[in-house]
This record gives sequence, C-alpha cells and structure tokens, in this order.
Amino acid sequence: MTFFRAAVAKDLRRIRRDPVALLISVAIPLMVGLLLRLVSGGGGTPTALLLVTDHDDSFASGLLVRAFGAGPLQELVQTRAVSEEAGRAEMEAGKASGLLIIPENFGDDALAGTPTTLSLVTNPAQRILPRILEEALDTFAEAANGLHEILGPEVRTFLRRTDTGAPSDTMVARISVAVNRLVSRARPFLFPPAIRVETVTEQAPLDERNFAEVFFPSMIFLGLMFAAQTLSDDVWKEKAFATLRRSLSAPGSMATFFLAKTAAAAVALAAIVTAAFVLGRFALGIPLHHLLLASVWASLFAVVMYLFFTVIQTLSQSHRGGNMLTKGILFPLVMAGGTFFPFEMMPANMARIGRLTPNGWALVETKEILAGAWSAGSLGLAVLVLLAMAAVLYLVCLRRLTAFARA
Amino acid sequence: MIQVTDLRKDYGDVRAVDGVTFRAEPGKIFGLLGPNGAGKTTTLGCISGLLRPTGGRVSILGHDVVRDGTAARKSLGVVPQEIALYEEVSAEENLKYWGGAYGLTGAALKRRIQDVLEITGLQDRAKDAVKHMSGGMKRRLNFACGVVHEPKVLLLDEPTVGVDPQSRVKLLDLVREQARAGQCVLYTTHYMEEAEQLCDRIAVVDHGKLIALGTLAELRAMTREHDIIRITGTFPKEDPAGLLRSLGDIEVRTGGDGQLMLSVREASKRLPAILEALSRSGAEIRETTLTQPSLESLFIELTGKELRE
Repeated sequence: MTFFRAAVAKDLRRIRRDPVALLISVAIPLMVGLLLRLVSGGGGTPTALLLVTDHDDSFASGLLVRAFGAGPLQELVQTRAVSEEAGRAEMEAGKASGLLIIPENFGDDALAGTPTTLSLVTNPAQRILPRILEEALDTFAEAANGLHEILGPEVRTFLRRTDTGAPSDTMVARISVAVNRLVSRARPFLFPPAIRVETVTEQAPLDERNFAEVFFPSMIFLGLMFAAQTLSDDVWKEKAFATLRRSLSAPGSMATFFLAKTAAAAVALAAIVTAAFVLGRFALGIPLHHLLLASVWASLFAVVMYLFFTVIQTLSQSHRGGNMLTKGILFPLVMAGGTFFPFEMMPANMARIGRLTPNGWALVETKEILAGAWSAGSLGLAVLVLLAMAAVLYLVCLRRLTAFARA
Repeated sequence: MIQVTDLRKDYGDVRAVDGVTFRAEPGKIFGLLGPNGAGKTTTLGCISGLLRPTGGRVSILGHDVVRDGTAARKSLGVVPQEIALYEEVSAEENLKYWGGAYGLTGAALKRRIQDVLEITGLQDRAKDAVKHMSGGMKRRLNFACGVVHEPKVLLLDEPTVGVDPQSRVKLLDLVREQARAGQCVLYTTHYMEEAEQLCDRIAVVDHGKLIALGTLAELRAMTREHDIIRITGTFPKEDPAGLLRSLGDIEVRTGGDGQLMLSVREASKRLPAILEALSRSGAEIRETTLTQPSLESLFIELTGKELRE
C-alpha cells in the first residue's frame, strides 16, 4: 500500500509539474470547436423566430402580436403567423424559438377581466432567445393586467364604439379625463392578473439540439482521447529515464506499480472531464444534466482508452513507433466515432457505423446521461462492459510491461 | 551478504554470464572489474532481480532472488549505471518516491531524505527539479535514491561513468561510508584505479567468465610481480620474441602492428638492455611505457589484452 500511494503521488506530481503535453491534448478540441463555431457563422446578433397561432384574431390579439415587432424587440424577434398544426411541426423540427398560441375569445376575456391563458411553446435547444420571448410576453401580460385594472371600463366603451364608428369628441374627452384621474391612483398591482402566461418547454430528441450541446460532449471526448494517448506515452518516458527498470528492483510488484500509474492517469482524466463539464454547464450555460454520473462514465471510458494505448505502446519497438501507432489508431477512431464530427453532422450510414466504435458508443451513452435520457439497467451493463475491458487490458499491459522494461 | 553460485545467463545463443561464483561480505566493498561487455551489468541484473538467471543461484541475506524475490529485494539498494530519476520533479520528491517504494513512510522517510541530501551535498538543491541539475548532481542524487532506505546490501553499477573528478571523489567517499556503516557493497567498474582504491576484494570478469578473484594483494601476487612494458615503433620483420629471448625471462604478450607488449620482472632495471637489443635489430622506437604490477597488468597477464580494449 505504501508503494502504491508513493507511486500514485509520484505520477500525479509529474503530471502537475509538466502539464504542457496534457494541456495541449485538451486544447486541441477547444480549438477545433472554436474553428467550427467560426465556420458555422457564430457571430452577429441572433434573432428569435416567434410563430404565432391566433385563434382569436381580435384587436387585442393583434396588439399583442404587433408588440413583439416594436421597440428594441424588433431587432431580436421576428413573428410569423401559422396554423397551430404547422407551428407545432416547425417546433418539432427545431426551426423556431417559440410558438405563441392565442386562444379564442382572448380579447373579450382580457377586456372583461376573465382569466385567460396564452401558451408559449419554447425550443429547448436554445437558451437565450426563448427566454427573451418569455420575458417579453410576461411583460406584456403584466402591462395588460395593469391597464385592465386601471382603465378597464373606459377601454371597453372605447372599443365598443370603434366597432360601430368613430367615437365622439365628448367620449374621447371623458375617457381622457378618466385616464388622467385613474393613472394618478397608486393601485396598479393590487389585483390578481387577468392574463396568465403558460410556458411549455418541449423535450427535443438528441439530434435536434443546438451547436453547443451537439459539439460539447464530442469536444470533451476528443480531448479525453488525446489525453489518454498522451498519458500512455509515459511508459516510454519511464523507460528512457531508466526508472521503469529501477522500479523492477524495488520490492513492490510491477502489478502495484502499474495499478498506481493507471490510478494517477484516471485522476488526471477525471479532473479534465469534470472541469470540462462544470465549465460547460455553469460558465457556458450548456444544459447538461447528471454531471457527476457523466464525469464518472467518461473518465472510466478514458481509462480504458489509456490502457488500450499503453498496450500498443508496450508492443512497439521504439518510442517513435509507439507514438505513430497509437496516433494511427486514434485519428480514425475520433473521425469515425463522432468525436471529431458529431454524429448529428454525419450522413446517417456513417453515423450508424461510427456508433459501433468504442468512443462512438461511449459518446452516445454520455449524451444520453447529459440529456437525462439514461436508464440504470443499460448504463449498469455498459459500466460492466467497460470494467471488464479495463481489467483485460490491465492484465495484458502488465504482462507486456516487465518485458518492456527489461528490453 | 551476497552469495552468487555458478551463475549463468543466456540471451539466445549468446552466454553473457558463464558460471560466475563469488561471495560479498557485509562491511566490505566487493569489486566486479572488467571491460565493457564483460557481463558485469548482466551479473548485477541477475542479483537485483531485474533479470532471471538461466542457471545457478543468487541469494541476498539468505533469500533466493528467484524464489524469494520480494524478501531479497527488500534488503537491496540499487544504483544503476543510468541516471534513473524523474526529471520533472524535485530531488526531494524523487527521494520520497524511492523511499516509499521500499516501504519508508512518515517521519522516518523525512529524516532519511534530509540525511541523504546532506551526505550527498544536495540539501540546497532539494526543491529543484532534477532536469535543472548538473550531471554530477544527478549522479549524487542517483546514489542517494539507492541508499535512502538504508539497505543492507548495495549494488552500484559503474556509478562514476561520465562524472567530473570532483563528483567522482565525492561518490567514492560515499561508497566507502556505506561500507563503513556495515553495508555489503557490490561495485562494478571498468576503471581499474577505482577498483584498486575502493575495493576490499575484486573479481575480474571477461567474456562472462570470472578470471580472477581475491584481495588486491592476492591479485597482484598473481602477476608474479611482473611489470608490463609497452613499446611503440617500427620493428624488423623477424620475430621480436626471438630477438629478446637471449635476454632471458622476458615474456612477449603481444607483438606486431607497431606495438610490442612485454611482461618482465624488475622492468626498470632491464629496460636499457631491452631497448638496446631492439635497436641493434634495426627497430625504431618512438614511445615506451612501463606499468608496475596492477590490476591492469593482471588483466593483460590473464587475457593478453588491455582492460580498456
């Protein structure tokens, strides 16, 4: 146990003192992500497309819809009238930021003070734009409630008269006086609201998520795979330093030595993945869920990759050969396995094949965890598969390592 | 104590160590002397457990290194020929790891780290990363890592290779101190001066075989008190041995290619007669060196070649 602790501490210190190679391996996916973001036109002011289904088609409902195209909102929100069916279909396809459904008799109910409900369906793949729509709609509803409480009778009279013709001068003057008096009263928020906004967020399938959600897990996996390859290179460093040979002369077994090395690699990989998930969730605001579970799963996968690459390194005849061979395996895996180009961007056939690669499979599981769409049974089985793979690869490494040290 | 009995190690068809037998005692420095490729490092590898012997037996403090390897290695300290250190971390952290690898923990480990840093003169550089140290400092730290756990048996594989003279003196002093403290020290070298200065007993190896074994005095006696004379120049075509035979009791070890090597008793007295005889035969002599009985002369005596060849 003393040897194990000493060896883990030693490797963690070495990683901490010379983190450049590991940081570069993690920085690569960030650069890739940034480039892709630029290529896909990440700049400019985003615009929310608000689909409107107006079942009421009254003056009041028209006023509400036109309010979205007024003032500063006109630069942020585009509105388009649609039938409810067409609107829902477009929302399913993730083509709009929100769908506003105005019920029948909305105008009459609002004027009569009868509670009525506006439905706003928002796109879960977007974070900012639907919030703008929600806030705007809430503000309009508050304003309408206030107006109703203060000027309800006058407005009703005015609107009734506009249905039959132009209002008389006397009526306009009377309403003006009434407005002036009532506005001066400080009782705008003492009554329950007449209009309530109900926001419905639909559960979107994985493939319809936005850029960050699609790319972020892939970028993390890309970083993890590079980091695992970089860490596997350490057996060659130990060999070059002659510390691997020297360790063979110590009373601690090679099994303990390599277990400690694997544990140190696991800590480093877990730190990377956890930091990345936390950064994504709390700094970038990407909707990621079950971060701890996702971190454990992704770290476990990265450890398996580390062991796999270490086996390749120990089978190689030279340091250069080991690096070339591991990278020669790494690149096709990241290309095919949804790690470089997310499955969502791939042709369906390629994506189907890519999901069969180890990283493709693990990435799909990770996305399901992050979306909260995992089940304990299938995840438990997947964990068992990874653990079994780790055990087999560890034993193969161990068998190779003594000969590797002596050679 | 190290007991090596009929040790053999084969690499395919090549026999690197061939029936080596010796015994190293506590409190003494046992030298394994031989040219590069003689089998010294392979012998040490078999003793340290790094290599599995093909035949024979090696035991450390009574523990067989093959059957009871862990127990044998617990008493062992190894200072390899290579600088086997972690370059990214500090001297202190290297010592912490190698101490921990031999079971040292807590206050005992801290105390030993301070002790070895002090005796190797590295206490001021304890926090420095190894990669920023000079070659001599790395050698001393390499030594410190081998003794941090106070081993009863210490194996040193050519620890002074590539070291500056100052660090070499310091390292040899450190080795003597370990022996004085009661450790059994096995020291391999191809520098005969080191073996002569340092070792209580010496085994001379060549081509994997042990060709001589004893104290320095015993080995010198094996040279039959003969000195070695090396003469460089141009010699007549006739056999130089025949030329010198008339002078009596002169053994020609090697001849030809512009060099003559002679084994002679009381060479300094007889050198003028030898040079005169060669001159008379038409030889043109450019350089003459005389070596008094030493390990080198013994090696030449036994193998017919110089130790550094």
